[in-house]
Amino acid sequence: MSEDAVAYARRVLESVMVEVVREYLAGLTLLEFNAHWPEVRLRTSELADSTAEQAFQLAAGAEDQRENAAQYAKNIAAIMDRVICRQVASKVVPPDLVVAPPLPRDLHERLRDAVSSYVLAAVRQLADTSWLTEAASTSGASEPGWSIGVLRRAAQLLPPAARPRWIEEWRAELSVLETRRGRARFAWQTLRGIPRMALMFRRLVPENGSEG
Amino acid sequence: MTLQTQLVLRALLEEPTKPTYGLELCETVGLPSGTVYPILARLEQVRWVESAWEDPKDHEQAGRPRRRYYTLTPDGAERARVALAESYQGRRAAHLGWAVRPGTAG
Repeated sequence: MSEDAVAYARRVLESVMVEVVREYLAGLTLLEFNAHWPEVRLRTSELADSTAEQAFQLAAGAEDQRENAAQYAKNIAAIMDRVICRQVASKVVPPDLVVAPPLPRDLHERLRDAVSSYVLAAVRQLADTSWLTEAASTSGASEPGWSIGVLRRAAQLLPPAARPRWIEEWRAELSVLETRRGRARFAWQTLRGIPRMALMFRRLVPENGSEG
Repeated sequence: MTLQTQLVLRALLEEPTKPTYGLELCETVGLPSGTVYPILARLEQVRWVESAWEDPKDHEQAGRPRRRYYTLTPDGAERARVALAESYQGRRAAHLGWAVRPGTAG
């Protein structure tokens, strides 16, 4: 398996998880949030590290393994749930003594559902592995066609109505970048922002305009 | 409002009526595209910024695909100025509160 492919899976997962966690920690006061955010961020990063390859493998056969992918998303959600609960609880209890989730039940459930939903969306996005593995192993991996191909695939996270505009906009930007390094950097940097854009669009139009 | 959003707004306010495209904005503010595009998308959603495709004459003459240009809306420019001023006042108050400790002023 290509390291680039796993690295990309890791980035997508981490971005999605960070955004979801950030959103659901928003109920804390700023002081509490700032106190806990670095640790949550670190845990999220570690989690993305440890799960990226698994996500990628699951996604490789997503059509056949949709049940497995859904189960995987639930497992991730459960882990995230525990991480966040531990973080929130640790403000009043030493971390090693935390045994019970202190979050209100509704927040707990919403968090689990949100993480499930978005991680599953990320896994589905990774489902089409052929483009990623082929692209990563291609010597011309920094050609404009490759870069826009990557962005077009990643844009599947965006609501259908928003995709054509953003893809066209990014293609125009890529076309004026003269070096391979510049195009590759633009593509990778933009990729990292796509999950955030997806979350924003989906929050604005939770029912319509998204594939769910 | 995040620091990155403030940077983007400041850059747009430099010349509020001048359209700018995403890559140009990234270079101006020194932020990666993965940060700037979500900010632009959000500003557009709240109508502080509007965007439009480049005039066909311009991009055809230049021999490249059309760009998407962003401009602050009049209302957005006003709101951005207020938001940045409030943000500055907040930082200033925090700074003064930190610097002038009780019993040391005057």
